Amino acid sequence: MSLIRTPVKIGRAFSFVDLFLLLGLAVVIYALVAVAQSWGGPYRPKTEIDLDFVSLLGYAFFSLVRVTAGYLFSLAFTLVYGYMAAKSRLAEPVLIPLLDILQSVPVLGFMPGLVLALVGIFPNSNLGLELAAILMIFTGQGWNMVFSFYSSLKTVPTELRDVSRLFHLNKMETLRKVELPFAANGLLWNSMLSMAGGWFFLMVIESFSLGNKDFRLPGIGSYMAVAYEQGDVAAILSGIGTMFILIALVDRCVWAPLVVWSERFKMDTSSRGIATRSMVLDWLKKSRFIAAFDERTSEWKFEFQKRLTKLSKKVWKPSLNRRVRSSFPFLLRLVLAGLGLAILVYGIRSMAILLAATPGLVWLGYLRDTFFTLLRVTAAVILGSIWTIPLGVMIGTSPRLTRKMQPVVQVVASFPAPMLFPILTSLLLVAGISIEFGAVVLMVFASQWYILFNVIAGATQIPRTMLDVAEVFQLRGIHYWRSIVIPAIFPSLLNGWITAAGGAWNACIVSEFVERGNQTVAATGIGAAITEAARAGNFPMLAGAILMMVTTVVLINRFFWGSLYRMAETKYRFDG
Amino acid sequence: MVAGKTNDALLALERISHSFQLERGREIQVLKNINISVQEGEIVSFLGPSGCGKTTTIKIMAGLIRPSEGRVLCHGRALSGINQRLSMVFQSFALLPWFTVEQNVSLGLHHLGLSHRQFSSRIGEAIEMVGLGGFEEAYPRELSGGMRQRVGIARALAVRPEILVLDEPFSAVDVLTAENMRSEVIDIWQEQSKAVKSVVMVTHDIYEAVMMSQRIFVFGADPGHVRTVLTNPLPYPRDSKDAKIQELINVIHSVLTEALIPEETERPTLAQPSWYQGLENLPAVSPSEVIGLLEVLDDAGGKMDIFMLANETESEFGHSLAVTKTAEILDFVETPKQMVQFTDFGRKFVRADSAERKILFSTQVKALRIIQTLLAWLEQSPNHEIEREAVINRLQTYFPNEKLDSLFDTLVAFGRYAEVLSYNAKLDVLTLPEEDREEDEFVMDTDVQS
Repeated sequence: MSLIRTPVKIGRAFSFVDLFLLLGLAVVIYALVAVAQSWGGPYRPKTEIDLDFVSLLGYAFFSLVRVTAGYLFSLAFTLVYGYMAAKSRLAEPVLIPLLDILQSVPVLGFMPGLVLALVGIFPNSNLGLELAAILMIFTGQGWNMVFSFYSSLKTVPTELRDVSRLFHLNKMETLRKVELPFAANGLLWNSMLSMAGGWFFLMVIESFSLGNKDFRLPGIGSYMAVAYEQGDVAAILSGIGTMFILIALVDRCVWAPLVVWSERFKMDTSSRGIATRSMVLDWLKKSRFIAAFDERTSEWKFEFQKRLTKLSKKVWKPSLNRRVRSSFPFLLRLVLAGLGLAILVYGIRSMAILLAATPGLVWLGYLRDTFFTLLRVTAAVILGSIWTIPLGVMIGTSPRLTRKMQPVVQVVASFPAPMLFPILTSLLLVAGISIEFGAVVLMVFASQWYILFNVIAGATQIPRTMLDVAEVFQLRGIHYWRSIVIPAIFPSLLNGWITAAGGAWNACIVSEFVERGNQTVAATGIGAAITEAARAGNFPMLAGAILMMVTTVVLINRFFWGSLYRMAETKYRFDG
Repeated sequence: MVAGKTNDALLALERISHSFQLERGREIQVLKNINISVQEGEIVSFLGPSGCGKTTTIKIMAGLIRPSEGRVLCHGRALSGINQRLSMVFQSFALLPWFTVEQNVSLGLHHLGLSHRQFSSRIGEAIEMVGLGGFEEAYPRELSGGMRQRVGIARALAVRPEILVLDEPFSAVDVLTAENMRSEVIDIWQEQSKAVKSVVMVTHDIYEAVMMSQRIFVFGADPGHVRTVLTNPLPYPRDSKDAKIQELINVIHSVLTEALIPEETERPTLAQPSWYQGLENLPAVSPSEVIGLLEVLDDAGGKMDIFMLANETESEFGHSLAVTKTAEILDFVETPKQMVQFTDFGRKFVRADSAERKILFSTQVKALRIIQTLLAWLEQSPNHEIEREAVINRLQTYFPNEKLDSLFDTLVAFGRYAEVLSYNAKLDVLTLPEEDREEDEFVMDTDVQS
């Protein structure tokens, strides 16, 4: 399937868009070479960061590569994990709860293991450290994509399933022609969220301490950390500005065209569209290059597809499949299940040994810390809702505002709030607000966007007729909200709350513990406890604190959000 | 094709029942004892209210659903997996919105291993057939409902199916377009050179069923079953103002509103409009009972109240009614109101001696369309013999839901009595009488002598 399909006007001149494309290609190639040199270079755990502007551009690029690599890894992981979870009746009951647990483990929980293991594997180059950073980025962004893909696979309409069976599409073709396109919209929106998630923890990931060792990778996150450390206001401001521009560029050049392009993957055309044009996509359509490429390859594509079909037919021969399934894979499955069990038992055992070293008093402290963080998370979600719900409904119910504001909201929301935390903390301290309460404000910054996004999405889907009804019957104020808006957006709002709460929990490690220059400010909370344990290199305490937090989050998800969700599913639905 | 000998239907559903599993182990039965066969070259429709299992039935035909009980025969072979000879058009179109018209139409072609040229020509052909030329590059969302359904039809036609199944194809299409597309579907089916041999259509629109199909299976609900089958042999194109069409519509109306066939009868009977000359359904009575009835009637002066008659013959009323009906089918008696009286032919019959009676009786039996049909089947089959099962299978087309074993026995009894049929009960094979087969010219002689 080609990205752009336009009739080619033969003999069209080389446009300046093509020139741009060529220049862009050259820059990308050069930059990738630079990246390769840096990654393959001799092992340097702590890069010296230059605070001048030209270096900043380079750092920004390095960070972009890192986050992109993390995203691509997330995408690959999503496709494999989500597909397995949706298709294997055996794997599903294991994979989905596991995902629930994994997504509530904060980035710092994965850090020591990843860093120590990968630096151990590549002791002489930066590759290990870079890979560790990429995988850490992945642990902060991958999960929501998997959930989205999984639920899309589960909700492919029966008739499309029937069509794919009736017309003899094999599994590969069904995935390519039916399931992936059906999942595309959800995947795309979650990709944008994930990318933002990648930027969010950049500072933590690029510059961290583990035990008595400091690690620092060349990147804009490290740049900001150093700038704050040295109190260089000019550097701080240019860092923030660069970050904004970078995010806006990615949004305009990558996401906006993709959003427009992905319109075709929508099953219905009824909801008011968000974006219908993208400047970049329009430019790309002008490219003689791409058009010619598209035309030239149409026959190859057919041949390729034919080969592919033939190949996958061979691989998935139904008769073979059935035979194989009945005898040999049973053993394979047994071995796999045994292996999984062994890993589980081993993990629990080593965890138990690790945790046994933690005295009971510490556990009691963790219990208190977790309770404090829970209060903060709740406060953050409530505070975040107060302004995002009215604004989101306003934007969502007006097509004009949706078109204008959506891109702005997207860029603002993608900006990694932790880069502003030191400034915010200072402001709060000046205002006489202690970090115990200030951390709530920081958490709001980390989580409010999820609510806003979801409310906008929910509001755009309020049927036009509903709004007309409100107007005809002159529903205003409390009545308008109670009888139209809240029921209509409730499922999306709930989604927003769940994601926001998750985001706030994950952000507690950066909001309850803030570095300002050379001093650190910590609140009483499980996030601060985790960060302190990681910095001290105290692995038993780190494990204990993370276990505490994960257990709490999973329990809350299961019982509190879970029951609300079921209510929303049965009560608030527009069916036709 | 060994199986072809016993069943020449393109597709046959045999004693299909189906249940869906609900939560907490509960079951809901959606189909009960469905027997349907699709013959080559016909258009059949499944008519009924929603929720009576019509769609489930076609999904079973397509192999999309495995029935809980019974089997699907495709050219006499049990179907396993997806039915390769069948293609389907969906009510909601079920197009892939991310593909162009062309890509949608090509969906089922990739696995056929065609060359690029064959591939393109198949797509072009299917698109032309439904009149979508020029829209190859359009996306479904740019098209109207009618156009989208054309894409659905083209997609089904591109794989050159033997049976084209349409699931309420025009219910999401505006009225005028639907009218137009109905005749287009018939045109496609009538083009004998093309692969489509038979069409199966699900509909809840009586008019649509009557205008388009040759046989109409009327479904009832709870659980889904076939209530009756109506035959409509009127040629195409059909005129909706035709009185016969109107009558057929009325008959179906009465069936659906239970005026004609009360739902409590476990075994649905046949409802047909008066003009329809189908095969006679002989009640389970013996030839001697018919002749006995004629004797009784003769004693009573050739005219008798039907209740009196039942009293006189000391038989159960229903049975004597059946005997009377058979006598009527054979044109011995007529039944104005509650009276039973001789026809001229009947009067002639009772006056004749036994040899003459034999000839007269034989003439009447031979005149039955059902006997003629049996004789034609025998003539066409190798060795002029057909197995009992095969006869019953074929009769199924005409009398679904009848107890065909008993009909077969009745036919054999009458055929033997009239000496036009012979039956080998050991081998369960129906044949022509010996003499008849070897010395055609002496048939009359032997008849007279015996």
